[in-house]
Amino acid sequence: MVERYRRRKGKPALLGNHQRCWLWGRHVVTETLRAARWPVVELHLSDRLPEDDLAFVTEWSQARQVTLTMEAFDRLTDLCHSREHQGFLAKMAAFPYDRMQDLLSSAKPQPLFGLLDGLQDPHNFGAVIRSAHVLGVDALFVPTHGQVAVTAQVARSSAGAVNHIPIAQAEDIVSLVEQLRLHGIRVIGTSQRASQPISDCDLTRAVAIVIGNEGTGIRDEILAVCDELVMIPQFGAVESLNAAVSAGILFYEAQRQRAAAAGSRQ
Amino acid sequence: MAVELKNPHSVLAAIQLRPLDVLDIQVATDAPSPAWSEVIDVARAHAVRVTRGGRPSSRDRRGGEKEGRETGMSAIVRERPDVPLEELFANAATRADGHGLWLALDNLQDPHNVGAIFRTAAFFGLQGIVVTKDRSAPLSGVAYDVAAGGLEHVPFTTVPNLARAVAVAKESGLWVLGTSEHAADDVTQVDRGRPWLLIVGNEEKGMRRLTTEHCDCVCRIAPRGDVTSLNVSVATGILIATLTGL
Repeated sequence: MVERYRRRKGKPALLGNHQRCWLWGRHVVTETLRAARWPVVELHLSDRLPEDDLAFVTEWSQARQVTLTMEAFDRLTDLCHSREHQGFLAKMAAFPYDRMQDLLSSAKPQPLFGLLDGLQDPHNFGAVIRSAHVLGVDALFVPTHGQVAVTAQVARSSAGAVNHIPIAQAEDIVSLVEQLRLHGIRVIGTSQRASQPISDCDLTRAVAIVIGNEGTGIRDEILAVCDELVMIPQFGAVESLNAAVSAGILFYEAQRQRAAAAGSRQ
Repeated sequence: MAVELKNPHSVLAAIQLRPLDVLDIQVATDAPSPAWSEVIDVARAHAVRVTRGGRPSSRDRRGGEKEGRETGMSAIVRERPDVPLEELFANAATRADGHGLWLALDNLQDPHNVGAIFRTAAFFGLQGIVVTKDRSAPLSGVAYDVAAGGLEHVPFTTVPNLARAVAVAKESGLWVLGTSEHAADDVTQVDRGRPWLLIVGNEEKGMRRLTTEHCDCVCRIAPRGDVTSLNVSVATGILIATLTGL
């Protein structure tokens, strides 16, 4: 995908084609500039922005020699095809995914990872990234194919959290699971057919929690290679949770167990 | 009033629970997905009208996760009626063996959040939901679709005045639990042996000050990281899961 948008020699690959390379909105753009991790190619601001917003972006763009253009509000709307830009628009380079091997070799003791098995909805993916970051997940792994990429919409739904948590792509999730196990990480799958409630599973150890696709859950070939299967106790009539909600509940439970274990050690 | 639904799961739940309110299933494709084929079969079994034709979908793709995206299938369904407030809270102390949980949504703006919360509420078997009427996301077709059947299962009532609803809840024996990032107590410290009405605030501003004053107890989800808070539907999921016994 990235190769398709590679421009002339020496220029960085863009996030998407000329219509899909824009990141818009005050919060997510300024958060991205502050984090200084995801390369910005150009900045476009509305000529009606307040003084202090202007000062921050001007200083940032001068320090990093990124072109800053002041434009009419409606021109920004034309560029990003959204009226929700609040006067902030950034042309983005390709998203800087981390390398799987780097994340595995530099992991801290007892890491907590998330492994997403093919999320389709950018809003769900963004919400999972946001929850993962807030709830102390160390890194996320996603498949290269069959999973929505980190797009501008994903970055917006993550409330800027894409800048703060490492995300790595894996060609093949089954072989990723095997690699994780070689590194001593237990892979925990979630399935409502499992009998063990999540709270009975020790998540204070080195673990990777697998989150399934919105429609079909975790694929069978991945369930088959998980070390343990757990479920979220259900009391009502609707049999499944939204993917982002269930990821939030699972990451929260891991964080709760870890906080309790740290408390009892002191 | 009727709403147009595009998620086969939300349509299926409506047919199973109140077939007389499902006015029309519109089929504009020769090859419906397995989920929609099941909808058509169940509709015929309940003598619900299935019409050939209809318009291709025009609504935003977020309608209802994977199957919701497909065009060419929709259903026209009457809105589910409100339950009277007093009935929503009736016998509060004995329902779910005294561990019953109710929810109040205080001026939520995004129908996707409202729908996702109804889905979670139905998964965990909540007793009822109070939704504010003014300056709030309506219970639209989008909310029904995102709820994936949740809006058919959980009794709800829309109120113009949340303070009055909270007063009725208290008279019915419920305890009122607010949520705030600034609260001292963590949700895991809340006594689960009481029937609670959990109040969830607006996406941007949280709970209104006036609402906070009516709470018996205010709790937070222990947050960490640089982004200050979670998405409201995720946060509500964590609160409900914890209060129902995770």
